[in-house]
Amino acid sequence: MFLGIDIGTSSSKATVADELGTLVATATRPHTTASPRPGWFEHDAEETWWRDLVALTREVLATVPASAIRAVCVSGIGPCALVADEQGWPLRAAILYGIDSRAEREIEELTDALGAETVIRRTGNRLTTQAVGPKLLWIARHEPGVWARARRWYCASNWLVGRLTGEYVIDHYSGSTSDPLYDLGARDWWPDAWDACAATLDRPRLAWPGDIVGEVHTAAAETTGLRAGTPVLAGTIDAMAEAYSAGCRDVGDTMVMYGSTLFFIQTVAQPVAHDGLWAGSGRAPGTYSVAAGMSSAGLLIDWFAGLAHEEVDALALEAAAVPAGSDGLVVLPYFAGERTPIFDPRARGCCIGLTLRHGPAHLFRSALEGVAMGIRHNFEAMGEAGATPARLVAVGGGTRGGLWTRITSDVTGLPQDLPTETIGAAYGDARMAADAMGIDTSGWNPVADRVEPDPAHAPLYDQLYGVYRRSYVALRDDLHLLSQLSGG
Amino acid sequence: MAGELVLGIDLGTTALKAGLFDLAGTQVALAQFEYPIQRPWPDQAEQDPAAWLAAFDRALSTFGGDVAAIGICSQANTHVFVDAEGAPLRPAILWQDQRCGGSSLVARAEWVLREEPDVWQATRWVLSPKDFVTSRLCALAEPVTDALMSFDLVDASGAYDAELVASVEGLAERLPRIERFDVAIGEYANAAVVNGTMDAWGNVYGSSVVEHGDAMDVAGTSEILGLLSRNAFPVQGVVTFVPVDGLHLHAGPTQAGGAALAWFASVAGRSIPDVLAAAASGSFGPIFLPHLLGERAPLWDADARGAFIGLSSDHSLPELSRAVLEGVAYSARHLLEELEHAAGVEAETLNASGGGSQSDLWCQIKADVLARPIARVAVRHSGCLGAALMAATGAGLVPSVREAARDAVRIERVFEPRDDRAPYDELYAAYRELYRALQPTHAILAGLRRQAVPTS
Repeated sequence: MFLGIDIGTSSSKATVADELGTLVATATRPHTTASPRPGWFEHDAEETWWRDLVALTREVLATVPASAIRAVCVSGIGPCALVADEQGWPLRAAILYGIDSRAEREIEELTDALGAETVIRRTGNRLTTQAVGPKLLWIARHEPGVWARARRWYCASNWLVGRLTGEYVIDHYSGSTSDPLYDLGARDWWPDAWDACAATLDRPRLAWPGDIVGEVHTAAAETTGLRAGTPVLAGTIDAMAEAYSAGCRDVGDTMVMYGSTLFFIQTVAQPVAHDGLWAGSGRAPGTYSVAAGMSSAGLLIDWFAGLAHEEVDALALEAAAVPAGSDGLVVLPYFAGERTPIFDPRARGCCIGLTLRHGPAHLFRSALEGVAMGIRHNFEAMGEAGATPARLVAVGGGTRGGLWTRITSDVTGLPQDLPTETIGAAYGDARMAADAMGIDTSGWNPVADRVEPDPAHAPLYDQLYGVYRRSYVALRDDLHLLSQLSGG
Repeated sequence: MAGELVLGIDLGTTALKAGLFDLAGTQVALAQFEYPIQRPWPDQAEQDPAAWLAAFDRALSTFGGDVAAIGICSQANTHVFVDAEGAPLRPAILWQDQRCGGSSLVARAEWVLREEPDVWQATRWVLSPKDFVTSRLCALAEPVTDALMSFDLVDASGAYDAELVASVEGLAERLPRIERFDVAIGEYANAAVVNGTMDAWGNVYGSSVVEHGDAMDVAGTSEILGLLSRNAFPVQGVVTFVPVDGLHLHAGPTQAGGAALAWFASVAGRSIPDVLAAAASGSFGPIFLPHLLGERAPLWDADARGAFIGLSSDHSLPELSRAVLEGVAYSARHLLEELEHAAGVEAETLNASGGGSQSDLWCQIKADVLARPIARVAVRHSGCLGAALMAATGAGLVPSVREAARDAVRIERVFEPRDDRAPYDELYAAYRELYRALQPTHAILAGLRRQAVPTS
């Protein structure tokens, strides 16, 4: 059997699966994210990550004997900026991924120092709050005492791998999303970038997420209950593990995760260069990835239900009866700014085309349609980069009820596969562990259902999509002004 | 003389409002009687003239017979076609009706001549609602109208524009003669009945808008703004009336005022008082364009649509509620600016009446957005009071309607613009810009609507 563990933003999860992919045990542990100041988000590595791993492992080992666990794989939130000494002991709390926006100044400085075009050419990405380098620079500048002792940098999964095995190693996908440290074309570290923001740190060894990089050492075995010597994989960032859990294996397979935000990741054969998307390495050797993310999705659904003073499920039922196109309403879903493909943190939401005839169900449906338009916009950006999604796999809480996925398929004209299991990244970890031990996992998590687009709605949605795209361009300056007037 | 009571009637689109006043302008009683609108086709709107008479009868029986004079002001651009006996030949065509594009009497007459020639043949008079009602009440042999109600048919002297009237064959002889709006034209149950005029003029006198530079905001289902001036520099989108006592009224109606608030309350699943209470706790957030039915003055754009622009996940009911009130205020500011161009004078203060003026918060927001004091009058139904003052004038109970308005209309509270108001000048500029930016979007949406609705 195979143990997968995933560290999320607000909880961690463990999954044990057998050789056929059947779930044998699961466990979940909630945790909190510290926000010491607005725009700062941190996890204490020892108190949150390690403690969760130990507790979850002990919980599943209560039902599964440690001797039955053939391999362990860990994934987690990322990219993070955790600095540690030469033994791997953390020197401060880990600074989390793109939600932490403390290093705005350093983003600009580092972009200027390395050259904006060079950064995109080397890493495939522009520097945003997601980037790791500016956060390291921030620590060096604001916490010189910490920085003087720092020798290593970690994300969540590879720090836990280090805790289990003693190895200082990171997977290519995590490395490639930790901008600007990784040279996507060379599939290796970019020395100039390390010199510019982390010259005094040692660089971790690079491995593929599915590689076995070490084994559980004696001390870790005593703490966790795992058998000493159990093989440990490199692991990766949660998004990649989640996509694999849902069955995204081949080039062109694209996961659409309907959460409070929306996330997409596609496996591609060549590095993707598009300044509206995130480029990265792939899960397996010889592959790359292109990812995208929208700032508001499920959040927006809840917001509209809150405005209408109704339950989401009840409103969704009414919205299903509203005609496609919501009788002429168009929503721009940029309620929290937007990430891909417009990278506009100062964008704001819009609800356009209102008349006296529109009621709460119209507005609710138009919000779903607005998010679906945003999905189509991201797919078009992928297409511009030569990476049109070949197969969509939908996961996440937003697939429940079916209305949202149906609207997405109608707006994009693309079918979506729904997998049998949607338990998340920890299951993908278990699957990678099984692969590493030579198991054929191609039968794991088969497709349970498929959402087909209704071609009858295509002409209308095509026109409304044109309105959607045009409206943002026409309103952009005013949206920026409004975000500035209301103080951010 | 203080014991004399006069009745002022506002014959509106959805209801007849009747107010009983003493000569000091105090409201003694008020009643409202609703009647339906028939919509036989999506772009048509009609009303049964008999329903107006029935509502009038109920008003009078509610108040008893002790009335010295009656004044009626009514909806404009609504037309009744009657025979020689004064009986309606078809339902009245309402101002909202779009069957012939415009709502002018000429366009309506042309339509009836072409589409219903039998009706046109039998038509002796084409009347406004108040002309219809007064001629029936007083059993007039020949009905009477006034130049203000006929604003789009008269020349600068207030007489019918001969060339315009001649554009429809047989129209000239079907028009009633024009008299001043504040003269008595007959009697009903011992009460003098005055000519009356269009509803906006009832609001003018009921809001004490009587001098050069005086202005009003009637906050009803829509916002009606008016500004009085010695001068007239006609501006597209603004109605400039023939002068009364040497003063032109420059006026226009927006499309959605109170209607926008009522709509938002229903979308938010809350009551209007709840929305107003929420708005009081919100700071400014998104910008709301209130064009939920297109827009009338000053844009006159039927394809315009409403919008919330600049929404953030931090916003909730308070910010959106406030945005609705602010959006209506922006539309009022836009209209007022156009009125000021037409009038060549700035309004120092706006006298506010109507249902929307009952909200202190909304009055304050308007004062802040329009950057001038909002003076709320004591009698919210200013149209009824104005009609009553015309009645008193026509009955000889007061020397003139202007003087009566000056004396009888009391300001209840003045809302001054606050020093620490939100950055409304910038937000208003953004509001104007947003409408322009969205025009291509509105054109596409209008095209989609036309595709969706079969036109034949």
